[in-house]
Amino acid sequence: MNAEPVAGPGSPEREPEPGTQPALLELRGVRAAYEGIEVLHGVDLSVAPGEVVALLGPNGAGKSTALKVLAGLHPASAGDVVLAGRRVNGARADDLARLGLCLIPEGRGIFPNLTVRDNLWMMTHRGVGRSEVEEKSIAHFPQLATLLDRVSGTLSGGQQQMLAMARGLATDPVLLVLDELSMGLAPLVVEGLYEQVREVADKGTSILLVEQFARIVMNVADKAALMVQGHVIDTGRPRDIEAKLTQAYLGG
Amino acid sequence: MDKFLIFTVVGLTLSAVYAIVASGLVLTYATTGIFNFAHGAIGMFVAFSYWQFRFAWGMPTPVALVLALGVLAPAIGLLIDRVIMRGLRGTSEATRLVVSISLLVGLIAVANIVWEPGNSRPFRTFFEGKRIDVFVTTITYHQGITILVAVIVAAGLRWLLHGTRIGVSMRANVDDGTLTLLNGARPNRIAGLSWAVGGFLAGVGGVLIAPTLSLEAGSLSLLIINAYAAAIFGRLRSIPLTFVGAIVIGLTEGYLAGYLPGDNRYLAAFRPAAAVIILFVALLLVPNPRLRDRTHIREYFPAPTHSGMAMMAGAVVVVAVVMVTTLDTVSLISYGPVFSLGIVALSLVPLVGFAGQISLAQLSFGAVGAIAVAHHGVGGSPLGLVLAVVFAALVGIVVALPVMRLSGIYLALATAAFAVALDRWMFNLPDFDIGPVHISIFEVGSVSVDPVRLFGRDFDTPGSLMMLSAVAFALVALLVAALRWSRFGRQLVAMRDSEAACATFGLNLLWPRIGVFAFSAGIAGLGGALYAMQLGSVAPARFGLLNGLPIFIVVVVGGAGLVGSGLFAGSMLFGVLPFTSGWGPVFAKINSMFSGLAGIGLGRHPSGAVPVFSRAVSPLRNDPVVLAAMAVSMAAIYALRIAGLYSNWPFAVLLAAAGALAYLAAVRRSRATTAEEDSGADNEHGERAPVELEWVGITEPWTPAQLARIEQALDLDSIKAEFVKADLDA
Repeated sequence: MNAEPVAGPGSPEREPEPGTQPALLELRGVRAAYEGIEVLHGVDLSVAPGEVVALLGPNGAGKSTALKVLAGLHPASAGDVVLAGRRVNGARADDLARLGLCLIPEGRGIFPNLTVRDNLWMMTHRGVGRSEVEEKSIAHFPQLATLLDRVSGTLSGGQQQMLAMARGLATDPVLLVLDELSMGLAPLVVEGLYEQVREVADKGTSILLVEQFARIVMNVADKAALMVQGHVIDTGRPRDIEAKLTQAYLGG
Repeated sequence: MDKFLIFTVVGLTLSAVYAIVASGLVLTYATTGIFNFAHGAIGMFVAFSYWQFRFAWGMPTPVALVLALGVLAPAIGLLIDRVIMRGLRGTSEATRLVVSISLLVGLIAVANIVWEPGNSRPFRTFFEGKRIDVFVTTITYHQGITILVAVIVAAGLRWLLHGTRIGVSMRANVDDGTLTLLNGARPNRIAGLSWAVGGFLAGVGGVLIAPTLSLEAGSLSLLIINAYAAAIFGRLRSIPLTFVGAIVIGLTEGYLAGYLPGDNRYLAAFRPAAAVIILFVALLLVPNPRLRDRTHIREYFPAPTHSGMAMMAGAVVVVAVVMVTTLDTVSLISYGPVFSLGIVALSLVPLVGFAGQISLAQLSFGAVGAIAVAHHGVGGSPLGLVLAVVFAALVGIVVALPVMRLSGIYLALATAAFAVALDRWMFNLPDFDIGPVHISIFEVGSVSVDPVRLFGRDFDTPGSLMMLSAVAFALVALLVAALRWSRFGRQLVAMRDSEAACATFGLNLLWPRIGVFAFSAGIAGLGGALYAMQLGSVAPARFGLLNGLPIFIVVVVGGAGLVGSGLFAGSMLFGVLPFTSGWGPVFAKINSMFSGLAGIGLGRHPSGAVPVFSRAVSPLRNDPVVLAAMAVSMAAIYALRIAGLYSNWPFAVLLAAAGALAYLAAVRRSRATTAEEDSGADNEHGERAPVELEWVGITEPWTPAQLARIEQALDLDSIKAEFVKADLDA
């Protein structure tokens, strides 16, 4: 994948200007429904190459559904999902994963009955070698080296999330999508994990973050999108969006 | 000591076969979530094919082995995955269960078509006659090979699941299928491989065990049920524990063969049933205590209406009158089970349809009824029928008590094990005494059944027995409908929908479960008793598990929660199928696969066939004018038949023509009236015919009138007033 950003890696203060560079990921008017009940009513969202975008919004706004749609886990009933210039509506999740779209799902994105080593082995479907995955994962999270033969379900919550994150760090994704990384973890652990996210972002990987606890991501994101009731109602600099959060979360 | 070693080897050989077969079953279940009841049938089919290649066509052993095990067995597995199972993702466990049971029935039917039963098919062991000395005992090459193969299978599976990436992906898929996708693993390849390996292992087991048994489709498919016990030991997940289970079961069988006194008639039949009893016990020890949550149910069954039930009961009786007055004795005998076994089919409706429980032992309850009426209905005493219901209900309770915490496949397996245990062991017991009670079963053979004497009348002709069965069917159908209307029926449906929710409502799940098992078993007992009367003399073979499975399948295909599906199953299986089979051997062959094919098609219409049918005839049902005209013309056609104007063929054609004409007329009339109503409604209120209420506000917007109705129903005005008052007080 040679989608080198035109304007170099995004800087936190850069003003997002739609149209100046081709988006790596774009959702245009995406609608999606569960059993006939629509939950996404035309979502527009874009992630430029090298950009870190935070998708914020209250519980039930449709953030996770939007991620499911873009990862190929749930069909869009209308609209387009465009990845690196290709319309990928209806593409299968496994194909998208091999293309380099790496979604770390909420909760622990690991196989609890498999050992850490086998979990890492599962990450090689993207085409990265087994030893390379292990090396890179351990480089990011040295703790994992001593845990390789443990059954991963017996690890602590933070260790499990590290293992889940390792897929995003070791397999060279084109777009890393993180769903509620902080869920159920101690604040210190979350801080550590987001340090790694920062590091990956600095290397120029595009990242889409979903968080309910918006403040955590303010220092990481270049751009924030606010989602309420199945719409992205506002997009802009994280600080500007932050000001509108209270109203979005509490209604007005 | 010598004897002990010999039977140890016999037992270990059996263990090896069970382990091979069971590990294949566990592999497919664990990776795809589908419990393959037809696993044994695949083994059976491959064993038959191997026999064909090796002995009928005389191919060299290696070629035959490669063809049967290397090509055919994995291909069957792949085909099943591709054609049948892939469409089942997201369906309920019950639907998947019925599909795989149908596959079992279908494969047996196909095998019976290709390899006509009854012919002797010598199946030699590998290296027949050759033996080898091992320490202090000798074993045959075949035994040695069998045990060796099991060891290789164990090692091979270990390597596949832990030493290859696709094997790791299989295990990963068990943990979290979605995450497997997100890692980029190919789900279809995972499922395909596990079905292929499963088919291969079933085939290996079949080929290894077939020489020591007679090559017979039904018994070979079911013998591998013993392997299911081993799989349950492994909790359907762990392959090492499955091997342990296989060793326990194989050795038990081996030692029973060696040490069970062969001259004791009570215990002789125990040996073939031992594995099933172990299965039953193993199931009881399975930890499965979690209450079922609301499972995603695609099936929806409305409660029967009063008018619909009255119409159905009336139609059953009228059809029976017509059949009795127009058919000859031979036909009356061959169509006899329409209503009697139809009652057995009906007994599944409250159990499977209302309560969401699964019983594959329903025909065994029927057998209990048959036994009761044989021994207590001597001389036509009506007490026989009463006791048939009572005994069957009691046996139903006996089954319900231990299996109460089981559900889904575990419940299906437990009831199947119960049916097989009865079939192989209990029904073959001679008379015995428990204290003062003398218990007599099938008296090792068959028992004769006297026709009942009711209201001073002997029901001793096929015609009168059919009439009696039809009236009984109509009454039972009304009873089942009444159950659905009752508080108890609502409890059952609630239990089906969500056991967890019922528990939080404070509903004790114990009594509904036991009650519905007893109720349903009692009905089955009545059906079995009437069936036995029609036969005049019954043997246990009539009530085996495999005879009962088609009834179960067709009821579920009809729509398990609908009273009409009992009628559907009875008339399809014992009316339409025998009738069309009479047209020629081709039809008979197609029909023998009917229930298998029908069940496999269930994935498409999980609510069953009856709603499709009844929706189709609803214009006729709702049109009294056409209905009356049809009834009159049919009565006239019938009167002319009775007067002897024509024979049965023109009679049937005329009836069909009258029905078809009436249907067409009703459809035309209903189209005309709906068009009229549509235009009328639009003018009057500006709103169209009401949509289903639960969809208002979702599929179309609320109207002010509907909002007002809701506010009134919720009494919002008074609540608002309360708030206003509270505000003022403050």
